[in-house]
Amino acid sequence: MHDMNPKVHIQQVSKRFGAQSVLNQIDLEMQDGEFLTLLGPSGCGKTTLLRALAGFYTPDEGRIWVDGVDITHQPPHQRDIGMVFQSYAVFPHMTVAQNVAYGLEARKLPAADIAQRVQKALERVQLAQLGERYASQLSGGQKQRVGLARAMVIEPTLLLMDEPLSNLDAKLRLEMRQEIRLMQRELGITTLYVTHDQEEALAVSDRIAVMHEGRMLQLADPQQIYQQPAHAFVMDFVGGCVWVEGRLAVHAGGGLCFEGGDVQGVRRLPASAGTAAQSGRTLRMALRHEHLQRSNDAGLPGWDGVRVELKTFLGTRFRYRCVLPGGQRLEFDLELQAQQSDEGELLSLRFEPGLACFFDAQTGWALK
Amino acid sequence: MKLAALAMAWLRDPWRLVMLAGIALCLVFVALPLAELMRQSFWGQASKSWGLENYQTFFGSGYFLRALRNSLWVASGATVLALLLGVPLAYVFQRYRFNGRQSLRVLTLLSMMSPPFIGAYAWILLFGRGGMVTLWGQSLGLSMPTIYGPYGIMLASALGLYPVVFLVVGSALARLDGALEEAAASLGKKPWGVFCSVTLPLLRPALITASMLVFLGTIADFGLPNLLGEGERFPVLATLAYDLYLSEIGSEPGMAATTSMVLVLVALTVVTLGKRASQASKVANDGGKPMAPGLLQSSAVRAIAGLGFATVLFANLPLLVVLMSSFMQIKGAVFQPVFTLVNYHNGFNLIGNAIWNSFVFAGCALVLATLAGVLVGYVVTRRQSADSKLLDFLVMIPFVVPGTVLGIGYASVFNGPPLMLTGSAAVMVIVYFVRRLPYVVRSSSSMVHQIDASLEEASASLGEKPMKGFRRIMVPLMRPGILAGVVIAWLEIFNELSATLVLYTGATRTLPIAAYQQAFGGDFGVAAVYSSLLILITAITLGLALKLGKMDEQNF
Repeated sequence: MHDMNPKVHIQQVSKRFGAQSVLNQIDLEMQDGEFLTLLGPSGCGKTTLLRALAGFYTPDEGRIWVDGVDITHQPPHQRDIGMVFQSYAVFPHMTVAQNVAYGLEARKLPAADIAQRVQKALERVQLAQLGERYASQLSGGQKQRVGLARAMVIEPTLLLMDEPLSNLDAKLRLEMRQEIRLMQRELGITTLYVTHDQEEALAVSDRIAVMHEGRMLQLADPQQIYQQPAHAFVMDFVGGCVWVEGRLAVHAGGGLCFEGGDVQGVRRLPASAGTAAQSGRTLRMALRHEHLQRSNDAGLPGWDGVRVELKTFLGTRFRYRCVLPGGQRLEFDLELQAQQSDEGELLSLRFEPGLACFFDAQTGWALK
Repeated sequence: MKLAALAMAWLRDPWRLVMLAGIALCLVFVALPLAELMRQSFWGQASKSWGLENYQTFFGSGYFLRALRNSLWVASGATVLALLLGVPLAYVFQRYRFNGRQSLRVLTLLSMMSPPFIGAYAWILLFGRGGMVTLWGQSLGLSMPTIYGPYGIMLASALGLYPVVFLVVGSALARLDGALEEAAASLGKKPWGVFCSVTLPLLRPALITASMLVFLGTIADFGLPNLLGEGERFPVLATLAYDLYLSEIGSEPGMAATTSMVLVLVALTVVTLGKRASQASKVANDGGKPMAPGLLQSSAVRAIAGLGFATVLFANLPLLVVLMSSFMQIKGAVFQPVFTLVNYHNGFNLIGNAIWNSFVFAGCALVLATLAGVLVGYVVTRRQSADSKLLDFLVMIPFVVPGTVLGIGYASVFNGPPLMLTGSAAVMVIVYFVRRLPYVVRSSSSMVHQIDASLEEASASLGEKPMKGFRRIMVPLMRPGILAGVVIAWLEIFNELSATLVLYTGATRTLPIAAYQQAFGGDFGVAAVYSSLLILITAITLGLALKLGKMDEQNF
């Protein structure tokens, strides 16, 4: 997967709309066959970057290469880039088959070829029987399958997907994302996927680029993104966590510790939290919700007096929403077999210090 | 390198050409004639110098001021009257189910079809001196109110324009979220209270738009006030400008230009005030389902519906009167209850090539307006840039410029080199095209707004060239919506009178001109024949268009 020559090379791309900077010197390389996801909240610039690749926006600065060819100023129809849209964008006045044939017709392929390839594409997305239907006769999931087939049938150099699942209901979304992943792997199409749903991103991607306010904060594989977030924003965005504000200090017993906040108990920290020279620096500590355990072990840091605010039954497990003594809320799940608590009860929670992540309070970047 | 690439992208974009061509066209055929009128209005006749002399003359003389006052008075009256007729009708139609609901709608739209001056002519046939009702009343010894003068003009204008109120307010009502009224009712408001505290405020933008359209329609109209105001007896700005223009032919039309400018100024003020008022009302629609029509129950609403039917039938009286009179014998200026075809005989002897002209001019103008309107409507909606805003502004100017004014502008600009158009067929086609282009532009623009922009992006990403993609994706999707604008443009073009009257010559006489000439001091019988022809042709083409529209909708 790691070729020497990247399939896509985005170099120092910037874009502003009026006074607002939407993309700030973005650098990104994609390998051939890679499934890369741009993840971030709305307004972070992910869609702008995708549309710059498609050719719907021209960057104010920077260049974009695909297969070594500079396409920065090429109009969209010359780029050979397939796109799948959030709104499906199925042509309502054409049948399913006509929709899928559209790009092949634009390429002036012989009619027999077109018919054959359309049929094959429709079979792949399980719409072979619906070729003569119009968009108004399709469900949301079927429309998006048409969108997929239409973009894939032209065998594009690059496939762009702009939040393709966000208009679908939850169940269909799970199903479709698996289908998309399988199909992408089977065809080996280099894919850039945009979503604001972190779970979706973690599930489908080879690599994820987390974006925030026009900047790319971290580019890494899903596990790294989740477990070793490079920035406080990434930590917060990709999963539930508890924040504790404090500072770096030298522990009386040697080593470093995190001072402050409302954490009770031992505060000894791993060496990765910083050096003695940095003591006094303001820090934010973050803990994934699932790293908190119900325990009152005096040897571990944590909280006592955590109140159960709401207990929800989810079928296979219970979800607890609790309030820390300092007012922060957190959620964790307990298996049905585990010992349960009632709403209003007070709990003790502890965590392994090695599982905590530390971020510079000023810059937001993780401590290395 | 980067500049070169940018320049290439610029040239490769065909929409830029459309935009530039559109702007150039508007500059020559919209801005230039108006600029010329403005120039003339600032050229003092007596002092032979630039300045406000003409405007001082206008605002210092009772003769001119009277026309301004009359215009404002008549247009305000007509607006109030049209609202009183149109709003209850729209409400009853949108909110209740009753027998004859659909025919009420058809009849309402029918009364909009014929040009206003035919309405005026028909009211004269009924209530004018020697009118059928007048004579009948006199025979019973009753003194009948006169149809001539301000009140007649107000009534006839309102009866011709209330369908606009019906349409605009009706469609706003149809889009209104029904849950809002239900919420008000559930909070304890009585029906009338709900209407006043929720429905009416939410309708404000629509009411403002409708009022604006009626007001503009009334002050811009020439034929109707000229017939019912009997020219000099009750002059309004449009008739005054025309008379001044006729008397100034050959010399510098300074006062005609000044009067025209005042008329344009009034129209612009109305549009600006209207826009500001509807922006100030800050009513945004955030979707929701419209109210389903209920059964007509309360007696008050039933009475309104009854009144509505009466109004609609009354408003359609002109059609009936005109058609009937065309078959009636005429003695002096009085129709006799004797069936005859002599009017038709006379009419066809005198018609010349007026019918042919009307079809050719209107047909060419319509084709041009449709092509240009679709392209311009698209480009001003999808391209948000300074030049697209300029184009949008320029192309909409004729919407507020009365036909008489534009006609006078054309007559003063295109009467010599480099563009010698006066008296030609081309000038007719162009003036019709330019005047009704806004209709097609607006209807195609609103259609483009409704079409998801990602459809075009999908087309481009699939490798289709921009213009071909436009033809394959946008044109078929826009077609049903454009048709409405095209049909209205056709009706307006085919029946156009005010600009034609300034610009026609013997060879380029049209059917509306022929009808108007006969109605204004010619043979009333022949006028009835020509008016009937106009009504029939409009009705037939409208019917065809509706049928075409139905077929279009069934396509997908």
